[in-house]
Amino acid sequence: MSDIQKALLKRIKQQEQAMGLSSLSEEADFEEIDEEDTPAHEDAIEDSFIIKKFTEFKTNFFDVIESYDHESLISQTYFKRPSSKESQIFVLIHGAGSSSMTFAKLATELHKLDKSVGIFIYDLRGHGYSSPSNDFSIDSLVDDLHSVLTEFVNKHNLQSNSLYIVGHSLGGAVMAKFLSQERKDLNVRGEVILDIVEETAVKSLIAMPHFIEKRPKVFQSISKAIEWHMNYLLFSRESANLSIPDLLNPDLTWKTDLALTQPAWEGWFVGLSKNFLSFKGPKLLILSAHETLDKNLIIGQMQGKYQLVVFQNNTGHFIHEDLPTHVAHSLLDFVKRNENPDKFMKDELGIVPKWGGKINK
Amino acid sequence: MDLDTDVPMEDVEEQQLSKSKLSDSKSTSNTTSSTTNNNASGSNPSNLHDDLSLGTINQLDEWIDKLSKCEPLSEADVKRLCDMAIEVLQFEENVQPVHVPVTICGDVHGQFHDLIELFKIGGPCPDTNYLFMGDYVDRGYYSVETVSYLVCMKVRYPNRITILRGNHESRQITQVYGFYDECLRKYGSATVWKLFTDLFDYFPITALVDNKVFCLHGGLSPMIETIDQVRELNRIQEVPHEGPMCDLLWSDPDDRGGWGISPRGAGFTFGQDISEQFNHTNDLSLIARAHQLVMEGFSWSHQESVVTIFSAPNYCYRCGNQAAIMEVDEQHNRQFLQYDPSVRPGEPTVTRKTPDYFL
Repeated sequence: MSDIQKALLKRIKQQEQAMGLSSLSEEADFEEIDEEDTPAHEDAIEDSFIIKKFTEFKTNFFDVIESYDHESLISQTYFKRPSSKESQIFVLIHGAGSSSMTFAKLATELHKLDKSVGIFIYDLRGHGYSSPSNDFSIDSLVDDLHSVLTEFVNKHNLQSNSLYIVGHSLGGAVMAKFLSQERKDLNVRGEVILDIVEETAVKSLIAMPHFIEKRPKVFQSISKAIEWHMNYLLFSRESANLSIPDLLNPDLTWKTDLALTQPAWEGWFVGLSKNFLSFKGPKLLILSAHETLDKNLIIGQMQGKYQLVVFQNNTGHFIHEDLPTHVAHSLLDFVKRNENPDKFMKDELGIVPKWGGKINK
Repeated sequence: MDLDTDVPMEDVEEQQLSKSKLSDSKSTSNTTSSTTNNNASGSNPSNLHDDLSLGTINQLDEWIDKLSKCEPLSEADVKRLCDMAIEVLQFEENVQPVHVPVTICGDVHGQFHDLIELFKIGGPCPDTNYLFMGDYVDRGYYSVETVSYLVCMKVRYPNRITILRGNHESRQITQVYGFYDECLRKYGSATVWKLFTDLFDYFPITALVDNKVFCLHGGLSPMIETIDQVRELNRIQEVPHEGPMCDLLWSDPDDRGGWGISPRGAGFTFGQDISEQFNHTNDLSLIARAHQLVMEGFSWSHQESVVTIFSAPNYCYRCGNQAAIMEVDEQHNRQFLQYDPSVRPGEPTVTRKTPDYFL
């Protein structure tokens, strides 16, 4: 066996172990190879492995993969069915430059922890497998969310299931704006924002053009793209293996040209905190690393208007990719508390109030 | 009324005054020895109140002077202070009895200069009796100085000031909201954070003013129908995630009747029916609590069965709220004193690191 063959086998074995698969029976005594400088054909083999796993995940995990056509905009959707008409459904909305597959690992964890919940994700316009667009204004994104959700609920007869909407980053801003109006046609029970705060986001806009400018325009391979994300944005390779392949065209350029979204930035985050707080139902805010609340969120928190969870270690902005199990636990706990407080108190806390009458729904 | 014989009924100062009348020379020698032997009180803490030396009083006064200038104590002094404080606080009750007249205060959250303003508005301690309802640390920039100062005052004037535990007096919460980081920044290690969070376990969780005003940080619990049930709790522990002790530190009053799951993720919401029933069952006139930011510094709920008091003006240096304290006089008349942020040089500006990427 040549050195290159040995090296290839070793890398495949590492990949399989990372994926939690049983390793190859071949137990050759592999020599160390230089991880930094892998020849192109090794990358190609690794890439095909990653693509295979990525495709398998999509087809095996989701029950329905379909696209909705609304006024010439095609929205790619993925749906894991809930177990019953009473089960809750998580609607997960990704941020700018990302795609629905950013939630691949979180969806897996949610399902692992609670087989009954449904999961619905879709690609925003100009992202993933939805149709390209030059209009990324918040209002268009809010309209898209409305039409996608409406079609989803009607098509699958989900009127009786509670929806819990979870938005990451720009997805959180879209969700909060959408829910700042009463949506009587949809049974939205709770809202969750993942790692976005208005003040920080607005302040950070100034640094974005530089960030976009300095990131690579094209990658040599998918594994190099994953490497780059692991160096700058992500902490979990397992998550990255499922989220990054969705971000790139076959020629390994970005599917989403973030520079095109710049004209819309100004409107994306203004009013986010107020929108979030104006939703009448239960609210959860999950932040990574630091508590960075702005004035409206501090007042809201100090008046007990929502739940705040901060995960401090081993996570960056993509908190659901970095800590999928932690986030899944928080989401399921949030649902349990709020879906049926009576049952929650009895089953989870083991208490029936000794006095004081009824428990509010 | 309930009197706990373990609770010292005279102030350190009063005891010492009578003692020094008996022997001036002894007091003087104690003063001298205390400056050279700083461990005098710490090494024999069980006798703190029977045998508190003038040296210890001077030491405490020295610390209070230093802290009044917003200068933190040394790590060694914090250790000694916390040892002394445990000796006082461990003998207090879950429902600590307090007498009128007393001035009742809410959240302070490390806003040291505003705490000094509070004492200006309410009158200096020990001339005025104080009852603080928790949340001394986190968010503000001077949590170390604030909690050191209040604990010093507690040890110095144990019967003039009562300090209850808030939900922020907890190991877990302080790691998220600033006290832990502040200790690291000011002392270079987590030792002081450890000393204080260990001390927090001893803080009483509620107080009862002349059997009529029930004071606590958060609110009521579906597991606690009578004040006697609070007395049965084992409070010397980290604030639990759930259960009666957690509820007392986390719950909020609500416009809706009955019990509700708290939007905060811990504790419960309770309606007017609950507050009225609790006050009736326990023969109370009022529940005084803190925990929630109220823009005027105080806020009535449940047709004056519950009052919320918040004593951190312009909370977090940005919320634009007034602060308030509530005086209860000998006749049980209540008066609210509102105040704005203290004027001080070099108001901290809120600077926060912005992330590289957030889209």
